[in-house]
Amino acid sequence: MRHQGLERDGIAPYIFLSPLLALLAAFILYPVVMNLVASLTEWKGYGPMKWTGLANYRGMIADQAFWTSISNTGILVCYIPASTLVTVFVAALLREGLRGWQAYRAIFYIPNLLGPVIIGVVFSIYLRDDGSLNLLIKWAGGPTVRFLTSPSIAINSVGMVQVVWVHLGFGLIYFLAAMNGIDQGVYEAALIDGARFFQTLLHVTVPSIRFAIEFWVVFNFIEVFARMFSYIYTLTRGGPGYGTFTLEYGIFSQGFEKFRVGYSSAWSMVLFLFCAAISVLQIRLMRTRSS
Amino acid sequence: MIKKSILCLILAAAITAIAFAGGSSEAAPKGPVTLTVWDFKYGPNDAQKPMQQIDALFMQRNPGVTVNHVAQPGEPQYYQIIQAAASANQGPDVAMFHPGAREYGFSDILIDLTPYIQDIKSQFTPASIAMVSIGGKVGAPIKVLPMTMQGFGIYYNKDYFKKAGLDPEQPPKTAAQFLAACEKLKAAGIVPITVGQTYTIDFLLRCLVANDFGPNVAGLKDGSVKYTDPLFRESVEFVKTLVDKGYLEKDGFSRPYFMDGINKFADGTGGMFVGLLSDVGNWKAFSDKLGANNVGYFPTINFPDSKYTDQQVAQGAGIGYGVMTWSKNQKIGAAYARFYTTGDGARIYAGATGALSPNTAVSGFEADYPALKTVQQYLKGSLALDYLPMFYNGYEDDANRLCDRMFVTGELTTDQFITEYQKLITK
Repeated sequence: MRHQGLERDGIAPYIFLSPLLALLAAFILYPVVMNLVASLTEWKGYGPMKWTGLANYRGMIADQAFWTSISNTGILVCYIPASTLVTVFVAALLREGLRGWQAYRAIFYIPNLLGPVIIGVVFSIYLRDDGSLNLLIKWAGGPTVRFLTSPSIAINSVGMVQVVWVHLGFGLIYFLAAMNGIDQGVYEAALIDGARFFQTLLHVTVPSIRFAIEFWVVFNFIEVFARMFSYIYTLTRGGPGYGTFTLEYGIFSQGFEKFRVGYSSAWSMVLFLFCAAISVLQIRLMRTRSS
Repeated sequence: MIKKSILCLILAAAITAIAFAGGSSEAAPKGPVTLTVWDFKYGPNDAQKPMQQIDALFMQRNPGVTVNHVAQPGEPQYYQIIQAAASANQGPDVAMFHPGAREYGFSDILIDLTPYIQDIKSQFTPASIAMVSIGGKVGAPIKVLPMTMQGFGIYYNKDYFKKAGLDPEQPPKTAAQFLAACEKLKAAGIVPITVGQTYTIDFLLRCLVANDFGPNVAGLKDGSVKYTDPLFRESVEFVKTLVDKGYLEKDGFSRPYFMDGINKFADGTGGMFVGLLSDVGNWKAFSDKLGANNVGYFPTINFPDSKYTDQQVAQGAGIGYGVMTWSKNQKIGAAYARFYTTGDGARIYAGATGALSPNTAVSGFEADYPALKTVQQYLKGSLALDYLPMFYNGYEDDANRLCDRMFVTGELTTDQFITEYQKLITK
């Protein structure tokens, strides 16, 4: 089949593709292969590697911190439905032409203008035991809420802030764009049939933007697995204890705090497999949709 | 003619001897040289000013040398940058390190400085030389020259002690006295112990372990001493009592930075603070803010069952400079490290920052600071080795997470904490 392609199209397509393939090989394939090799060695990030076979993987399976990191990542994944529901709901509200909706849209988009480090640091001050949110709660007569010093609350604080709030702004723009593609006639028909806001949302809007929602969920999975580090590093540093210690944070901690780069690479392979599985799922969804 | 030849030979021999002695801090470069120095103390709010002064003096005494001093972030980012430099095999000529496990972990990218300090080695305390020698073994290569010595202890605000009805000249040295003092401070509306994250507990445990094991602390490394010892349990339970009774300020555990705790105490918001002897949160920082006569100090808390009392926990060396293997200016780099740790360089640094120099030829600030006088008295008494720098990179992070789980979140029982703490050593 490949030979037929070569005969039919000549070498030109391959020449055009070669720069991209070279870049992919240098920046994607090589690091993945090197990571796999490093995961089978004892290595501190420089100097010679010492071959240890599967010892890092055996150590990882026996390491309680690894399982805690998987469990914490799992808790954050549970915030994806909340993020999706809130974002679709608010986007639908804004689409309805809520008074001053442009202003709300701008306000909700603010988190996307701030860098993750700024958000992390601001919330680390805002949510601490003597921070402004607790001062408000105290002022209202409530007890101190240990947003960052109770492990069960801290991981949920991270979920609320980083999975739901941070993604709200981008999600709004994304879902509003998707909703703009829905035929206005469908809404008018629903209105004539007496459908109210929630009925329209459930029976018109959501089915019409199903593909956008599926993509959003996949995107959020990747965000939770592989892009939470900067928030956690600046907000909780994985604590208290191992309260917000995620798989991604564990890779950093093992590789760049303890200089066990070989061991950290074994953790990275697990993250790689998770992300690869999500990407395969995404590709399948897209194929199903296009067919 | 013969006389001239003999004279020339003598002169040549003398010049060669001076060059090989390594004793001169004046390294004469052949052409203009830029010496790049990486440092986590060079920030504008840290020790930049005195360091600029020392650099200027070094350049003045070493014509042709330009010092390019680069401020780098603190831990843990600093060592990640060093790790990146090591993997690229290029970077600074000279870099700052924490002696102990940090230094030993990077020993293969640091040159042996032993030949450069033969003539001044005796100026340093034996403990500091031991600590900068690889593996802590005397006689092993010295890869970092010690700028400071470090330790931990409890500082207190004498005004607040008076206000709470306590004798400011009699610090609460026993466990019972300490608890009573905390209660009195609390009753007077004063935060008994200001907290800066879990580091406060970590530092306090290190002070208490000094009394638990005294001169035998090093035995933790070879297993001759263990955390399962009843005395360590007593220390852990004592700290738990301080947390449960609210003597250790709970709000402080969620502060974003340890420095926040230091600043809070220096601003007068607490009765006591578990601080350091050098670098930050030390006698000078607190005396300059609270008043030199208003700061008291004691090194630890004495338990009735303990064999040892008033042990001062100390690290022979706190920070120091090493010269990198890839540097083309190793000799000048070594001269620079010498300059910071001896003579005028060391004097300027210690005087401006409050760092305690491990160089016995550098002293003389006690008159202005009574707290320093007290610290020095304890340093002349019974010293106990600080256990933390003996262990692997990341030990402190692991230990702090355990402290979090035991004292802040309450996830661990005392037994579980002790078991896990002991496991850290063998990790």
